[in-house]
Amino acid sequence: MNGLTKLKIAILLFASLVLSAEEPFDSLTDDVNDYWLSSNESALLQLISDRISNDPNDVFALSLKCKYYIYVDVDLTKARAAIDTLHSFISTLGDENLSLYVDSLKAQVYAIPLSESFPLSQSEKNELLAFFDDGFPGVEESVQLASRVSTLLQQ
Amino acid sequence: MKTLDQPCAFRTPLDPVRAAFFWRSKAYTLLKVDVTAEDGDGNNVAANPNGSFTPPFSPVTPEITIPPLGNIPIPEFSEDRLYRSALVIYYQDVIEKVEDEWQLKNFDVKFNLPDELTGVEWSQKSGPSGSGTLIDADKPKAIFRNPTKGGLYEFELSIGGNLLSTFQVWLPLAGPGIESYWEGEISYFKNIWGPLYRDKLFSSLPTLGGGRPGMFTFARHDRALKDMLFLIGINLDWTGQVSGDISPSGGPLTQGARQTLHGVTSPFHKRNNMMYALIGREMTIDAAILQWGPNALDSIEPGAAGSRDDQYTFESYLAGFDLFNDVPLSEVMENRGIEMLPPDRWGAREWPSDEHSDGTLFRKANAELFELIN
Repeated sequence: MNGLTKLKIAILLFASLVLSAEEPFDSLTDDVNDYWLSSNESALLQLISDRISNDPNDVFALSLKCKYYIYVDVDLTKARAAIDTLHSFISTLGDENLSLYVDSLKAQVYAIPLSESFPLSQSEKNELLAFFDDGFPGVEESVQLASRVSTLLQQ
Repeated sequence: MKTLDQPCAFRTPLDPVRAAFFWRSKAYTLLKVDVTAEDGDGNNVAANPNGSFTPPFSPVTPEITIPPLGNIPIPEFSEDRLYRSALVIYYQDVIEKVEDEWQLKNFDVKFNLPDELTGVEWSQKSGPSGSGTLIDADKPKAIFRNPTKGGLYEFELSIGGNLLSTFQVWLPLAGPGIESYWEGEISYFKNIWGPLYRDKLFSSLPTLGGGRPGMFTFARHDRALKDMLFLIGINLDWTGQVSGDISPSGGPLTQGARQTLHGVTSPFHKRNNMMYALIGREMTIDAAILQWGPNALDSIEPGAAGSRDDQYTFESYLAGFDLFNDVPLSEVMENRGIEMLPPDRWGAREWPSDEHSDGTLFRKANAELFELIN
């Protein structure tokens, strides 16, 4: 094996290590957006539930779960419970800035009165779908949060 | 030590700032010029007080042109080279906060030769005009007092009418003031882009039957945040470098171009952060989300939203919020400009320029910003 080949292999290995950190989220984001845009609510909920069954503190899934119970199957009590779990977990990580950020997210979720917790009509669903026609609302935020936490946990 | 009335048979100075002069007598006697910089309390304010300087040195002055993609050719720059070429005085080392106001301290650049030398003459060959006073120019110990402008100062030393040495003092200088351009940008986002964005956002909002005001607000915020992440993803930056006749003559551009805004050095990242915060607020995004979000999220795509946030970054966000709340840029820079500058970065080291330019930067996300209002 000559030097150039070794160099190429080293570059490939390095690139695969770099990419592997984001690849799972890239794939998940695509899946979530596909389910949203095709109104495949059950698949979206299944994806979330599977991840939480595997890890109750799965930041990506908890963040999505909160949004799911706001934008898909409106249940604001469950949305609050999801953000509460996320908030509690984040507060154990000792990252003040991240905690302040999740504080803000939680405040926003709690600002939606529980009186609005009733099912969406089909026309409301269609409106939301048209408004977020580029993907599930908050999915990028969920990915970023999860990646940030992943980085923190590796430190 | 033996001295002569007239120096003679000088060799080429080996070390022209701490100039080595050789006198012919029974034995060579080595005399040195020491160049130091001290504040009023006698504290050193030079970044390289123990340097041995060998000019000439030309500070970095980048090309004025702004390439279409906003990429600036990075001139070759060696920190080691500058430390060896001139006495260096950073702005951060000669300012102090007095009753909540940043002020330039009094300080002296001191040129020192042995007292017994006669026929000494110090002179300033070049450098910013109207800045600093040369005192005791005909004495072995002279002072260049209180320079107030950044730039490269070149001095000469003669003894007995013979030019012996030149030496340099470098106060690295940021790019010229771009207030007119930057205020134009602020005005555009506050008065044109912001209202257009909000018109589009509100007109496309789902009504949700009119019975869900809380969700209505939540969805609006999520949409705006999604749009902001879209902008950040392609870098909500203003790139390029505006130059004047003498500025910048500062550090390398690897830490982003520094310009001056109302008498305060304004580095690339902090200037862009200000605009990010202003635009975010125009988009109706919650201030706390804007302030804490990029910090919480930046590890996903390192560099996408700038480097990891710290107190200086937060200060730049607060500056953007001030702009949103109609505080004039001049006041914002006076209140927060220096607080935004992390120490030991070139933004803090460089002196603000008193030149002004009508040049412009490159709005990197221009197409995407336009897309969001059309």
